[in-house]
Amino acid sequence: MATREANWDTPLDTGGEVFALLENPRKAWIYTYIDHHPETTIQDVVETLDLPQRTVYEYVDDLEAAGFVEQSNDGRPAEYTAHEIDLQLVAGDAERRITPELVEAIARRIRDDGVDTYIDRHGLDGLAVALDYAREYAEGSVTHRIMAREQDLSPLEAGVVLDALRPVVEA
Amino acid sequence: MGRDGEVVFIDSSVLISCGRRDGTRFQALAREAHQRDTVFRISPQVYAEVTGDPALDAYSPDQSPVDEAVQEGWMKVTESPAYSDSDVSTVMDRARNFIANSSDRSEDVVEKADTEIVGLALEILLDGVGDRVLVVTNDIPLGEAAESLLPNYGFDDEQITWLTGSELAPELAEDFVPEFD
Repeated sequence: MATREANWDTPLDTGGEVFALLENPRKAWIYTYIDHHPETTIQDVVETLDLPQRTVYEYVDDLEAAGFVEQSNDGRPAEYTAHEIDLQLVAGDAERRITPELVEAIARRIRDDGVDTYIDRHGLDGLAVALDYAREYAEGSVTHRIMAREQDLSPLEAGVVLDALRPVVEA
Repeated sequence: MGRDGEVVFIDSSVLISCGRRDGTRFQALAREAHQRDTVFRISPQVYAEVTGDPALDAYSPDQSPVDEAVQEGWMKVTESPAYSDSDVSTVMDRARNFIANSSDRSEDVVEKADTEIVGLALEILLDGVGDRVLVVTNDIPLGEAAESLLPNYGFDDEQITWLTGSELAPELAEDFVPEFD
């Protein structure tokens, strides 16, 4: 498990090697799929996610090079298993953790217009904040209206993102 | 008014969740209303949240399922709760306090209007319009406030039920993107 600290002005909306995963929802989706299904093969990913084989090969290579997944068998076809991601980013007073949950939240923008729109409007930083609220929401210690007031959103927008992120935090 | 004098209030948290799917969840809600032989009620604040929001265009550009439901007759917007009734007003203040405590926040971040559904539920029971009330919300502190506060006004626990959307209609629980699991 890698834990690093770094300083950036806006913690998550930044370039950099690690951020290739965060800025590419399809790559985030492949990581998430491997994380949920250990010992999976390229073919599994291609068939389940309906992505082009070349893309999957390329992205799994990238994920492996970055240390996010590793081949977990010696034979062929190669089977892949995910590593836990836990990166701590500190920028001034703001702290952001990059976790598999955040990667999954990003991946969901492919299939979930609510997540996609939310990221367009509030960035990855906004998404990370929403994920914290989603955890609280699932525990029953916040309402969508409270989130709306504290984050200066409309109740509808808070409700959309809390609903969209519920499966991520309840998994 | 439904079978056995049951009145059902739906919160915006549930309607927002349903509105994120292409109509199927609203169909499930409609079926549920018909099966219960009732018209679901939504408060003015809930209606405003789900229909009058500028952000709506970004998130749900081509439909207003709540207005459709109202036109189809299986959902209706209520009046505001009777703030002048001291019981109704008090239960709403208590609900506000309850939600602030549940969420470990100051009361300033909860507005009295957030508890309309609790005030309206009490009104139904006090006026004898119904003898059982269902409060349907995905906001846990609000649901818990309804269940724990309303019986204090002389009603049995069975007369007040809090359900989440998926407890009301199982179709509302279906995950959107199963490949992640």
